[in-house]
Amino acid sequence: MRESTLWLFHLLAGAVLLTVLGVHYGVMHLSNLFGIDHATVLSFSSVSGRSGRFFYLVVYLVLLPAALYHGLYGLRSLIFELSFIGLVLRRWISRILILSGSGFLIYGAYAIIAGFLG
Amino acid sequence: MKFFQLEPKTHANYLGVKGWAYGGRYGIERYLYTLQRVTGLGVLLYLPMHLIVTSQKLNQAGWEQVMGLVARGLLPFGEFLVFVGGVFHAFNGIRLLLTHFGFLMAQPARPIYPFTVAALKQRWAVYLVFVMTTVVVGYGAWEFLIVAHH
Amino acid sequence: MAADIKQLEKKYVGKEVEFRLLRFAPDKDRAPYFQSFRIKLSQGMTVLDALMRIKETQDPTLSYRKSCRMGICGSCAMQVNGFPKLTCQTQVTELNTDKPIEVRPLANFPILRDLVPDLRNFLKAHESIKPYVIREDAEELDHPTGEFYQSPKELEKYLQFAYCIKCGACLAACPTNATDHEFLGPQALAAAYRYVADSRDQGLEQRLEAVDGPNGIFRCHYAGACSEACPKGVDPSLGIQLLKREILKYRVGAAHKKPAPLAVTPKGLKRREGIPLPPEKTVGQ
Ligand code: SF4
Repeated sequence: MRESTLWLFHLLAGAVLLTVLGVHYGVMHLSNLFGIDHATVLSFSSVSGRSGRFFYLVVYLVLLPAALYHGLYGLRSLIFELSFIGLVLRRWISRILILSGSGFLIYGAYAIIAGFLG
Repeated sequence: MKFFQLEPKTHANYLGVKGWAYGGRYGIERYLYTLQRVTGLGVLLYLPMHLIVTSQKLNQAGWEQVMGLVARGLLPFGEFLVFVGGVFHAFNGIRLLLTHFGFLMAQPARPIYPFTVAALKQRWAVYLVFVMTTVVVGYGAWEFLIVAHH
Repeated sequence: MAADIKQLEKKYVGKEVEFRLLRFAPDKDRAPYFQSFRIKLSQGMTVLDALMRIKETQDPTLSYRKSCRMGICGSCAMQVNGFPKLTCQTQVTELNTDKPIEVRPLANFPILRDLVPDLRNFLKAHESIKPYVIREDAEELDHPTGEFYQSPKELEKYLQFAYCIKCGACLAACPTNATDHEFLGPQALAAAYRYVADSRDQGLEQRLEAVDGPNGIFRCHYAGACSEACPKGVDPSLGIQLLKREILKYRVGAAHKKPAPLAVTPKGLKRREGIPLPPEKTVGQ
């Protein structure tokens, strides 16, 4: 794929993260601002309550791939800018990044969806 | 003795990864390049751990156990560092996002001495990044480190 | 700065100054090493003047690259006290230091000998972005019948980037070039923008081959150091970001560009009296 395509997705994922991660941070770590106690936010009942809501299902299903793509592409650019890493190794690194990204995507999506249904 | 050498012998003189950390007396932007990488890497490393921890929410016993685990020792402080890194990465990311498309930038002009550097005209954005990061992190610190432990 | 140059001169002119120069002879030395020389400063002496003085009076084997000694040729860029500079434009007094002055070959280039960097890859990168006007009407370029229109405003869009003298200082400043030896570098990318922004040019697509490659423009994460280092005010980092915008426009199909048309000679007008005739046409006869 062309580098510009990968990079535009990186930026797009970044922009998406700005909003959904903003929601995530806001809910989890700045909850006092909205008058919700920090301990309550992390209690099991509140966590599983949020998991069951459609809004959070969407937020987390968007957040997960965006975060994985943005992060792993960033890591890939960093690694590919090191000239001592040869072409063969680069190919392997790409594969490992794609595989581990997909693995975490499936794992995370499972947890999100199961949490929503359960 | 060789009279003719097609490939001259040279000596590599690259700054290498050290050049990310220090390159010379440049503006702060060159070092934000590195900081953006470091914070990005930090958040990325945290991500798989976070996924594994939070996926325990599927059953109550697992969740309570894992929440007890991550509240131990320096782990909350580590999480706080990830938060700081993430917030900085986000605000600086906005600056970079806009810059990559030529916004926040001066227009090309005739190079008349003393030359202007578009990157340096954008300093206010750098300061804004730090101010915003400090505000959010400041509030977050209160909630992370103080409220969370009461 | 300029105001206290008199004071600086009073302070340093006539004094002996130590220069630490990096030496490396590829056939003899396994690694570069520093050698010190002491010379007396004269008024207005540039770092390059000092190198020439050292070569003339102390060590004729000292190698460095220079040509015009007035900031035009781009040969004499070196690291002076850790910062890439054109040595012919840098007066020793302006460094304002009592410590030895350290001169190294440009960073992020292999060393050929002493202070001479190996610019081959650098020039290849410049070549790869096709630094010339590309048009669909190739016939007109090969056998021109006239000039193309270009307004002063259109000129200003790229003029700044046309001032590049290919000195390589920007690559020495770039953190990506520090680790990525195949990265095209700020110079080539700014040069690519210089042609893309030229109203006469239609070559964006052809240039993308190199620019949009794995070692191309997207290895730039905007550190801005290249622009700080550039001795000609080219501001490569500005050019690169503007080029990214052009690429985005192109990828979303918004890059409509009609190249500048041929200028036509107005017909049917009468020449006012007393105005001399223009010189003979040089093209298109
Ligand atoms: S852009 Fe500036 S620093 Fe880079 S090669 Fe051209 S003149 Fe030198």
